[in-house]
Amino acid sequence: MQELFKFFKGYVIIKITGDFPERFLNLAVNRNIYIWDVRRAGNNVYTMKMSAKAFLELKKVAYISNCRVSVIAKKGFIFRLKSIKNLKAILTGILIFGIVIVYVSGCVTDIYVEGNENLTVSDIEDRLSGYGLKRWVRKSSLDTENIQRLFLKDNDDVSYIAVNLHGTKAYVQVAEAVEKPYIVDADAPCNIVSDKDGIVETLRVKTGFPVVKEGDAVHQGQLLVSGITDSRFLTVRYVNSDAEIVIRTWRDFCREFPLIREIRTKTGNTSTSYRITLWGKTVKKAKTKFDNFSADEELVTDQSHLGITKVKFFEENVIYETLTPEEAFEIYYKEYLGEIKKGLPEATEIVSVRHNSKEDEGKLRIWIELETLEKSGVKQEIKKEETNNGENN
Amino acid sequence: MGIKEKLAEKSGMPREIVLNYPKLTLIGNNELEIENYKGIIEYSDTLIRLNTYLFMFRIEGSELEISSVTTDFISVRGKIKGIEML
Repeated sequence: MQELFKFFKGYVIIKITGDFPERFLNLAVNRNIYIWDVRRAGNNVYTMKMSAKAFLELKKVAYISNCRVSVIAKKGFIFRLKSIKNLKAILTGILIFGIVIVYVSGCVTDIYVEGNENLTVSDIEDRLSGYGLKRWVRKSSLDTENIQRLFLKDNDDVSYIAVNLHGTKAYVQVAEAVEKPYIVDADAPCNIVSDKDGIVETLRVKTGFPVVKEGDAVHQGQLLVSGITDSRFLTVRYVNSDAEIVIRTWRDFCREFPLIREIRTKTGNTSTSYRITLWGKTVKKAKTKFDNFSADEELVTDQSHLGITKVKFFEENVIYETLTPEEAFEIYYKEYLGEIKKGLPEATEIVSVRHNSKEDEGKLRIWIELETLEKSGVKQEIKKEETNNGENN
Repeated sequence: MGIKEKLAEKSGMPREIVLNYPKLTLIGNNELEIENYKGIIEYSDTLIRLNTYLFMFRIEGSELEISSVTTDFISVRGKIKGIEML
């Protein structure tokens, strides 16, 4: 520590030549000059170290003690600083660096958007830029409450927004508005149309006038229950149709599956590597010595300019198994049917399942046909004006 | 025994402070620290003679050097072979 202090203050290594160096030392010490590392360097020649400031007081001491003093070396931070040729340029650089740091710390450098589901981050950022919140804008020029108020006023698809500034980062939390479904007014006159092709299985009409009967084949968009009645005895009446309609439909699915199956088993060997991205460009890829592997990724840092991802590789043994068509069908059929069932609309009753398979160029093609009973019927509002105009024409 | 000495003994105060007695600290045989010295009489790499308020010290050795020196403290480094009080 003391050495470091001496280095920063700066010191000189001097050479004393004279008959009485002891006298020189005593006189210097009595003038409160701190001296260290006194060594004999030859006959009546001594070297020693002292602070750069104290050296200036040595002239009188040297004269009294009849010694000659010469400087061998100048050491320390001060002397190093003086020896730098482009000191002005370096100091200017430091000053510019300081100004840049101060300026940047007063700006928004990153915008983090959270809570978005359907809207993209770039879309929200573009919209926010319209209210003044964008990268490299001065924080002092931002009125976050005003931004929040104006954003909510102008964007119907966002129900909540919070803008918080922490350091040089802006954290934006949004909640998207849920689009309200089209609901026909309970009293508004409406028809019911089919939303799929099929055969009408059951038709229970509560209000309205059925246009089709059970057993009829219908197609998508076809009128099932009408909300308009016109009889000889009554004038034209409009009602809000309501009915429970079940339609029998048939759905076909087809997919190809490989007859060579890849079986991967983990060996237990792992390795870790990091992927680094700068401004969206990958400057370092995550590497592994394994030929066959699977990987887990963990985000370490995710900033606009710097992204670090920790990638853990798991070595795997890969075995290729050739399946017979029967074996392949056994493996893939249940898997495929399960997938199909997940994709069916709610409250769908499967009446029957038919399947077929065929081997074709090292692949197995599986067809599945489902016969289902599904609820059908979509309300469609009747616009009286259009109806009247049609009548007048 | 002088008054100062008696006072130092009775009060339990360090005598090197009250009476300016020299205090020597020898670390191994390669470092010697002396407090309350008065001046350097002779210095070479084999012999150092120091004056104190009580004695003159003669330090013999080889490769002797003064690692630091102030008005009342001196530290000597090197292979110290003997210390003599004169």
